Amino acid sequence: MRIKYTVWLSVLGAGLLAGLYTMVRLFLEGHILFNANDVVIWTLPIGSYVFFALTSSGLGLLSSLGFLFGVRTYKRAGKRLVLLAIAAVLAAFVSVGLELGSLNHIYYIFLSPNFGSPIQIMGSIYSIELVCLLGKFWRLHVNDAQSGVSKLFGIGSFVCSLFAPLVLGSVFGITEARPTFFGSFLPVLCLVIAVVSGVAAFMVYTVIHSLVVKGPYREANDLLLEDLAVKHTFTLFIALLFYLLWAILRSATSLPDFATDVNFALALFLFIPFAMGLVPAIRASHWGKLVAGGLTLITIFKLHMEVLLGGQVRPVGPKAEGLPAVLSYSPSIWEYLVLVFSLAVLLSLATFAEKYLRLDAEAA
Amino acid sequence: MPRYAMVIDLQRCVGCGACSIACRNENNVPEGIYWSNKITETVGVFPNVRYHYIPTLCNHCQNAPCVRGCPTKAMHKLANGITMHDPHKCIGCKYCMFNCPYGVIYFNWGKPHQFWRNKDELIKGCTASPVEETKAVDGRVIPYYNPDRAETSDGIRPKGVVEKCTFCDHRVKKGELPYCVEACPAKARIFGDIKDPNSAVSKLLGKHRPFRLREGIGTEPHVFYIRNFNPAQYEATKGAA
Ligand code: SF4
Ligand code: SF4
Repeated sequence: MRIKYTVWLSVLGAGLLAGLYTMVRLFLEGHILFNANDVVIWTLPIGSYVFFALTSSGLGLLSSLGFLFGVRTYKRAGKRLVLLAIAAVLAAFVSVGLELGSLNHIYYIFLSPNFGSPIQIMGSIYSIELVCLLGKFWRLHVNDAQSGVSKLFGIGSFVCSLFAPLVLGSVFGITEARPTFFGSFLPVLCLVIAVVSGVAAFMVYTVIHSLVVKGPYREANDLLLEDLAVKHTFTLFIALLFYLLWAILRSATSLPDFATDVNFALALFLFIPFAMGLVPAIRASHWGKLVAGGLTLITIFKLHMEVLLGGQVRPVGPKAEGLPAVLSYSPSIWEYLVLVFSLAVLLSLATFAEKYLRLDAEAA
Repeated sequence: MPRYAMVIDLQRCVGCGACSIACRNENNVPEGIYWSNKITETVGVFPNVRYHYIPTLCNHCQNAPCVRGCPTKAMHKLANGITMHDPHKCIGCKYCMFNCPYGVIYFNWGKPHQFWRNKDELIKGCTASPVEETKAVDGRVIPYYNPDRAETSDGIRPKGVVEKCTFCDHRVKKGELPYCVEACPAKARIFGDIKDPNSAVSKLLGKHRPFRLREGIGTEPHVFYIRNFNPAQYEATKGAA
């Protein structure tokens, strides 16, 4: 056990070091290290940001079930959920931070804010969400979920978790330049995806946690897992419906140049974990939850990348000079390392918190 | 306060690209970045083929999506209608590039003017290196560095920020024309105050039926195109069913 733990810490350490090295290289050489260009502008690091940010909102919403609405099963899991939501939002900030060309100018977000900009609104909401989550974690740590202050953090975090995905979707959805790439449907899709990825991530995490750490909470975990598996299957069904609806809207566009092909493989990979969840034996088993949840998370990551790239692969205006009608993209090693860095930050925080912050403690 | 606009007469434009070269020199534009560019459209089926050449630049839109989306107001409007960029406030999020429907904003992915930072001699023991060339003429990074550009913005924009055409705001401020207008040998570019009914741009827009790029999306571009170069003759016909 001790050896495994040391290996795990070494893996995390290697991820963090690789990320810090990437940060230094990006600072010195610029984003020429990415396989992005003036046509395909936002690439894997933004996909990674969207994934972690939405997952964090999903986890935040899930934590509200216990903290705000008093659902028993989720009360016990509250502290862990809040911690994971914090870790995910920090992972998102790592991804987006390393994507910004001039992170050293970031203070202008506060000194010269443009409140009409969806990026500004999104940044503000995620920052407030982080503060509320930290506040919520603090209240849970001191064993208080009932006081006025706790309620304030609880409501703040719930509202932010609800609105953040909508605003994130509007960052893409309201661009006049690319009306049929994303559309105003995207904010709603983002909210649905946030819930699914939050549920899937917590289900996977809880399964791994109960396999690795054999504590006195196993029985409670089993109840929680059973509920998560049902929620996962149900929310996946909703996501599948929304994905298909989105695909229909896209294929119905009157601007064929902008229409992107419907990726039926993605729909299939959303359908498989849903179908798995419909079989009681699979739904009840640990491996079933692990495979279904893992598949959902990978497919959702792929979906984010598809949405992101689908709107950018066709050059706009004079940028089309001398270029093919549709560009292709594959990430550079540095872009993968940004993703690794974000993941390492998330998992390091979770590992640290599991060891030192009594995540199984339930607040009164 | 004037509201500046540009008219491009496509009948006069010969597609020589002098505007783009002049812009590059005036604004110290790095390789791979085009403040002044063109769209080449080929139409017809061989052998009945022709191409249209449309010079492009920032349209200095009245209702500019790049400005609306910028989180730090780095991309902003001047009172004279010019869409201006402040590299010091720019966080390099690239949302303006994402938002601009005209594809005229570029990002400095790496250090600009890489070529001129090269210390290797082109022919060993014979020619100077690009760095030496630059030093010889006391340039800043590039041998043809124009210090005037630094009057209103960075002379050369650093890595990690975007850049685009500013209608040569530093020249306009001094009562001069944008350099692409100055350099056009065919007088195809006409610049001026669209609010003044006696300006050359107002007169031309009153006389011709202009079009603007992607007019339907409501950005109110302030680069107008008039006429069309077409020397083709054809015999009058009503076609056939
Ligand atoms: S053309 Fe593009 S960069 Fe220029 S003002 Fe319009 S939206 Fe902004
Ligand atoms: S890249 Fe710079 S100018 Fe463009 S939107 Fe972001 S902060 Fe504004």
